[in-house]
Order: sequence, then C-alpha cells, then structure tokens
Amino acid sequence: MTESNKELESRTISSPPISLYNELRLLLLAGVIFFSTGIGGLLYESRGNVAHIIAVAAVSGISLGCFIYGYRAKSTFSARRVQEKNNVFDFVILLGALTMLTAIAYLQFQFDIFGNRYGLATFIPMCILFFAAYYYDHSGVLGMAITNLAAWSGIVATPRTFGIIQWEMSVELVSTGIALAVLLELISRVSVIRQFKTHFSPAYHWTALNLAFIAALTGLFNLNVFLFTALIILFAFYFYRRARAEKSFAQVLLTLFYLYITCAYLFMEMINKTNLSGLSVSYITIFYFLVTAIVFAFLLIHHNKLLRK
Amino acid sequence: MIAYSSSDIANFVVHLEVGKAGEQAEAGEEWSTFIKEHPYPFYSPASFIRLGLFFLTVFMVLLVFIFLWLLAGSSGSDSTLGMLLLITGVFSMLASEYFAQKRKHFQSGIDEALHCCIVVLYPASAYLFFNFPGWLIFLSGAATATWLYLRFLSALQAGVAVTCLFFSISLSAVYVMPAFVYALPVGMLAAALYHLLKIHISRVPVVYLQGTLMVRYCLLIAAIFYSNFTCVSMANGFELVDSFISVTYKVTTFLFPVLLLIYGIARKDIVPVHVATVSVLFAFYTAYLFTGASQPFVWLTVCGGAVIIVCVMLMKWLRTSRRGFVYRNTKDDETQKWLEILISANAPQTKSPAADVFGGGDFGGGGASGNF
Repeated sequence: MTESNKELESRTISSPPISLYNELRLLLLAGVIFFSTGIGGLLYESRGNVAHIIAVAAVSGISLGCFIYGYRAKSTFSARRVQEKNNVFDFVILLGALTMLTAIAYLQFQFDIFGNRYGLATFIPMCILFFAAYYYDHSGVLGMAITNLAAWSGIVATPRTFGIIQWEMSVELVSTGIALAVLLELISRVSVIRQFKTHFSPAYHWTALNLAFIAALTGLFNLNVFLFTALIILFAFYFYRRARAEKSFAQVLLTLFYLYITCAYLFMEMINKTNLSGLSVSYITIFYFLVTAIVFAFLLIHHNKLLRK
Repeated sequence: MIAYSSSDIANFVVHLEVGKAGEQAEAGEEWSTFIKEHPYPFYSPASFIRLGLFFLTVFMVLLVFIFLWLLAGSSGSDSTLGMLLLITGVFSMLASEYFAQKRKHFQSGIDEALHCCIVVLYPASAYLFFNFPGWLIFLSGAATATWLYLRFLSALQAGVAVTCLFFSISLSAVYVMPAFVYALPVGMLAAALYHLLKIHISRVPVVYLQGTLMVRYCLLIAAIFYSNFTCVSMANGFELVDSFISVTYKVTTFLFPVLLLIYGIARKDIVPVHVATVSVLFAFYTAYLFTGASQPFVWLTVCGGAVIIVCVMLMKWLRTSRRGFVYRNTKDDETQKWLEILISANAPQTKSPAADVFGGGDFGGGGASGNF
C-alpha cells in the first residue's frame, strides 16, 4: 500500500462527529405535521361545543404567535435567498401557515364568515400564504400558496402519501389548467429574469410542467385529439428545451413520460379504429410496448449521458 | 464468483473510498486526473434514471411473459403458467448476466429489476409448476435473492434476501418447520462470504459496504416488526392478550427502541439511531392502539407536540459535539473533506528512502540481519 493510500485510508477511517442535521429536521417536520393535523382534528371534533370557541381561539393564537415569532426572528428582507440562522425558523413559519389554514377553514365551516362566496375562502388564505412565503422566504409555504391558487381556480390538488400531489382535473377545467400553467411558468421566468427570489422559480416551474401536461392530456382523452396533441408537442418542446438548458434530468424524464403516454394513447386509438382480429391486436400491442419500452430506456440513458457532459 | 472482473472491482473500491467527489464541481482538475487513473468501471446512473429503468425493465419482463402466454394459446392451467414463469425467469437471468458482464451495469435499475423479477418468478413457478409447499417457496426466494446478492454485489438483493428469509421464518416456519431448514440460504451466504474473504480479503468489506448496510437496516427493521406486539398480532390475525407472550411483546415494543438508541449512541453508530427513531414511531402507534382508538387526534397532537419539543431541545443540545453526535449542516465540511482526499490521492507518489539497516541476509548468517 503506498503512502498516499495509507493517508487516504487513515483520513477515511478517522471519524468526525456524526451530524444529525437531516434526521432532526425530518423529525421536526413530522412533529409539525402531526401536531397541526391533530389540532385540526380536535377542532373539528369539538364543533358545536362550548369549548370550540376556545379551541379556535387557541389555534388562531398559535398561528399568530408563530408569525409574530417569525417577524421578530427573521433577517432583513432580500430579493435573494435568505439563510436564517435560527434552526427552527422554517418550522415555526410552517406551523403558523398550517394552523392558519385550519383556523380559516373552521371559521368558514362553522360560522360561515365568507358566506356563499367560497372563492373568497380560498383567495384570502392564498394571499396570506403568498405574502408569508415571500416575506419569510419560505419555499414550503410557497408550495401551499400555489396549491391554494390551483384550488381557487377550481382545480383540486390532493396531497397524497410521500408528498405526492394528485391533481384532479375535470374536462371543464382544461382551459383553466392550461392558463394557470402558463401563468405559473411566466412567474417562474420573470423571477429568474428580474433576479427576484430566483430560488422560488423551480416551485412554479414544476407545478406548471405537471399542470400543463395533465390539463392537455385530459383534453386529449376527452375533447379534441388534434388540437391537444399539437399542444402537448408544443409543451414537450418547451419543457424539453428548458430541461436541457437547466441540465435537469428529472424534467427530461417527466416530459418524456408524458410524451410516452400521449403516443401510447394515440397508438391505441389508431389500433381500435382498424379492423384487425383480437389476437392480432394483442400481438401488435405487445410488440408496440416492447419496442417503445426499449426505445424509452435508450432515450433515458442517452439523455443521462448528454446532460452529464 | 462475482460477475465483475477484479480490476473493475478494484477501481470501484477506489471510487467508493473517494465517495461523491465526482459530483462536486469544485473538484475540477484533481477529479479529471483521478478519473483518468481510476475510470469508474460500471454503468451506475443517478437515482431518477435508475428508477425509470427499473420500472421499464419490469414492464418489459411482464410483456415478455404476456407474449409467451399468448404464444401458448392463452392457457390458464397452473402447469402452463408455471412453465412460462420459469422460462421468463431463465430469460431474466440470462439478461441480467448479459447486462452485468457485457454492459457492466451495476445498480443501474435494469440489473436490479431483472433480479427482483428472478426472485419473484422462480418461487412463483415453484408454486405453480412444482407445487412446492409455502415454506419452501419462501425459502427458494431467499436462496435466489442471496445468490444474486453474492453474485452481483447488489444492496437491493441483500434486502430482498433478508426480507424473504424473515418472512419465511415469521409467517410459516414458526408453526410448520423446524429452524434447521433455514440453514440453506444462511449457509450459502456464510460460505460465499468466507470464500470471498479468502480471495479478496481487503476488497470485500468495502465492496459489500452498501450491501451490509442494507442487511443491517433490514435486520433491525425486521426486529421492530418482530418485537412490536401490534404488528405481529395484526400480521397473524389474532390477539395475544393476557398471555406471557403478550407481556413480552409489550415490553420489547417499548424497550427495544430505548436499548437500540443507547446502543447507537454508545457505539457512535448511525444505523441503530435511525432504526430506533422509526421504532419510536411504531411504539407510539402501538401505545395509541393499547389505550383504545377513541382519541386519535389527542394522540396525534400530544405526539406531535412531544416530537417538536424533543427535536428543539436536541437541536440546542447538539450545537456542540456531544458523544460523537452534532447538529450541523455538514455538506460544506464533506465537500472540503473529499477535496482533501482527492488531492492526496492524486499527489505524486514519492517513494520514501529506505532506512539504513544493518545486515542484508534474510535467513541469519553473517551480518546479523534485522529480519531474522
């Protein structure tokens, strides 16, 4: 073993203190989510009782307390990313935002504070969340604000396990979805061009990407094949170019995945219109999926190499 | 034994030692010099492409099976399906050999998907075609996974092997078969490890680093399931109330995380600390079920609040290093550390002059050798 290898080995073996940074942050996040979910459930369970006034006041108090703490602890506002020195700052703001949503939802549910103006019930929290996201420089709250924006425009985004958001889109909302996607993408671009909170740009961009393709695919499946195929190709071209520019493989993967779904749908539509027998259709379909799966795998490998250069 | 050549493994070991330096943009020239001397031998893509290739490969194996099934006249008999599964399994095995030996895939998604298919296809064919009993099916899965792990160095396979083995013990063997049956995969693992240790004594521990880590995680998580009264009782579909076993399970459910945490802190080992954290959550859930499910939100609020308080206290306490643990974002420290390692690895090899020694003979004699 050479001297440098020995040195290398000794450096590798000598162990510095183990950092529990990620573990503790993850646990704290879990704690915040457990606590806000639990408190929301308790509030809902106590509806109609005398105690519910106290409960809703307590939840509002927690939310207000969190935001006041954030106001006092935060660093000076900057157009760039602000690195807070306080370890728990992000989590306090997140707890404040979550409990604020709980309180407003309960006030609307129990006291009808917005009456029948349901749009207002999502619009006001959305404005508060956007303000809080920019004021406190918090990406998590921004994600909640964007989800609220989608809800306000009528699109339902349901959080699922492991942070996956399931977008539920009806045919009537295709144009709204596409318009919203374009708007979000514009905000993403403007924030980069104007150098204002550029680290928020990916949050807008990712939502725009998913929303645009899901809206266009809903249109393809239910409305007009030619129009929405053209739209999907247009979206794919744009998002692919941006993914290449940003060297983001995840974006390439998603764009190719949505294109693959489009191609598979068009192929199945074409096959259904032919007069082939059932068995021939089965063979052709299997061959199609086998060949396209291989092509897709090669495309992934090729793009991975391309983006690494 | 191993599907990859020894020179490839040697280069792989060097890359394992250097770690993620390749991802550091700051590495610059040092990295390019290093990569020239020690080219990374395998195709191991990033996580996104790995995941994509994994699902695509599973999809393709499924399509091959459907294609064969159509060729066989869409028969629904057990023996035909079993035979087709066996053929697909053999096809997957040949494909995995090809990708490992010719294309040098290592944890690329394709090899792992093929291995997972093999682990599923062989036991399935054992059930349908050979009509094996349940314990033997689980055992064949464990043996196949163990074999694949040893041959392809895959951490995923280590996990699959341990999981298969655990399920074969806990679900059927406890009631049906004596423990010696499980000596086969365990024996295979031990014999192969011994064989490898004899050949590559310095290499094997590093090569199997990810695999052994996975095995440790799997074993400890399996221990949580085993010690957790609720999980065991739910899995078996009966309640062990008012019995000695019930008390034992209850004690181990709450004692196990604490012991594991103490062990992890004492040994400065992150794996038991991780597993203890997960087992604390399990214990909370078990405690909630023990007390009755009437107040779920109270439990959620109390547990959430407790977790927040404990975390905040730990964050403050660990600002300075305590018992080998610290709360600090070490990303920048790691970059610096790996840069130092890279620079030292690329440094010119200066041969240190031999110290003056008396004598020179190796086997005694005139001159009084220092060696003998």
